[in-house]
Amino acid sequence: MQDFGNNRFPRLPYVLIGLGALCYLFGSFWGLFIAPPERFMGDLQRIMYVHVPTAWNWMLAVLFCFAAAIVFLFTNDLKWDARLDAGLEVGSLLAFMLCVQGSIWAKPTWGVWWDWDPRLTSVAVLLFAFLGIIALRRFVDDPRKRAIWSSVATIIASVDLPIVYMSVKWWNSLHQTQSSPDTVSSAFHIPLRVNAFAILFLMTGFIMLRARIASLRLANEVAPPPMIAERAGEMA
Amino acid sequence: MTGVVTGGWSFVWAAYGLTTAALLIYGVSLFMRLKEERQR
Amino acid sequence: MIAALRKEILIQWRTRGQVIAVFIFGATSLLLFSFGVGPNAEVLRQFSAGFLWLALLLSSTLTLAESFHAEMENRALEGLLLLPTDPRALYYGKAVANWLQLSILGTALIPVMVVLYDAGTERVLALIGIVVLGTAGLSAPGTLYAAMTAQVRSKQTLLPLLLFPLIVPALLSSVKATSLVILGDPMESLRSWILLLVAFDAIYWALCGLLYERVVED
Repeated sequence: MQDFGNNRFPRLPYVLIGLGALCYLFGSFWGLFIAPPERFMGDLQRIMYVHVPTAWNWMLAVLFCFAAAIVFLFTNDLKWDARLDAGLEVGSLLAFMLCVQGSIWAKPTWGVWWDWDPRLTSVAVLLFAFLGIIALRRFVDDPRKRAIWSSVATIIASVDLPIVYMSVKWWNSLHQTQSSPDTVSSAFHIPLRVNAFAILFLMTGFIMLRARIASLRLANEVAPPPMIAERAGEMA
Repeated sequence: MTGVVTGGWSFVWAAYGLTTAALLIYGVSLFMRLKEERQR
Repeated sequence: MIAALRKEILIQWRTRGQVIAVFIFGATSLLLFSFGVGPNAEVLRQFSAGFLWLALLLSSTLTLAESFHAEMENRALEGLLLLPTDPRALYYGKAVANWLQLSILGTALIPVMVVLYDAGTERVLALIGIVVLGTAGLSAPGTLYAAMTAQVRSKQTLLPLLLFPLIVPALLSSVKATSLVILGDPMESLRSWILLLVAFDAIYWALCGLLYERVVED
């Protein structure tokens, strides 16, 4: 069976996930119980210790997808399509988490579930874009065509992200002047950094495993499993 | 003084709970999908 | 590219019944939006720009999907690739033709908007200009995605699914600009929105043309 890569370090993703889980427990414990409440936000500030790390890693995921798409278009090596497949899924998960966390933060703060914050709104737009690409992949049977189209669509969506952000920021600024919390004073750095690494390790491990799944699927697609081939031989 | 915003803890638990649940469920689904794909 | 464009316009002229049908769809949408909101003249006027562009966006999915219909019917897509024409020229020919059709559609919907929502203004040329710029933003990525989805099952749902998140900046800018023209522009911000729209158009007309070749290769 043809090998589509993504299996060079068999143990690594599990190590990363384990490490990530540990960091997450440590960072979240610190954020929940040790870090002091913030001056204005009170205990609500603690949401930032998961929200901000998720945001940073989401951006990395999008960058990864963009890179994988470009590399595929240049190399035509399907192992990059497997990586793109993984990045799209994990990136969508992170985006979804961001929207949920953002809503949970917004409700007690602004009184509404969604406050059209430019950053979160851009995330939502890109979430829908990624979901659309994932849907596209389901309807294309030819692996090569699927890979090319996914890459093209991902590049177009990624290039769009900064434009979407700028336009929503501007669209929003005319009506509302609230700001999203982004400045964190030094007292809160530890839980933030630890959780940032936690989600980074988890995300990387997830992408590696998901890419492996995609590679195996590709191998099955390109050369069907022996049972089916046998039966086809019988019928011939 | 704990700040202007009160009643935050339920939201904090919700955020952490959902984040943790999402990561856990996704991780488990990955393990299961990988196992299934390997057996094919 | 001119030859490709001429061919497209010829095809569109032959199927102009379709164009009228899309116009009716757009006008009906405008009507339905008003029922969604209620007979409050002031509110309707406020949102008229938004309604116009939503109607245009929805109609564009019909137009764009249609633009590759002829190719798919006769498997002409592959035939065209055998000709010694630059696929990029093909893309731009189609994109421009779609742009033209959407611009005409948008301009035709303006009087409907004016009547239904009391959204009149003296600056009609500015309105048409915004329609032209905005539909350019819809047409470039739309033609690219139409080429993709035409070859796939479930094309009707996939095209809007892929296109809509993408054109958010174009939609925002067009709606804001149109709204400023209709309702007044106290802070002189129209130019900035137009600039954003033009930037979006420039980037996407370049990018999509570049990528089209890969999308239709075999």
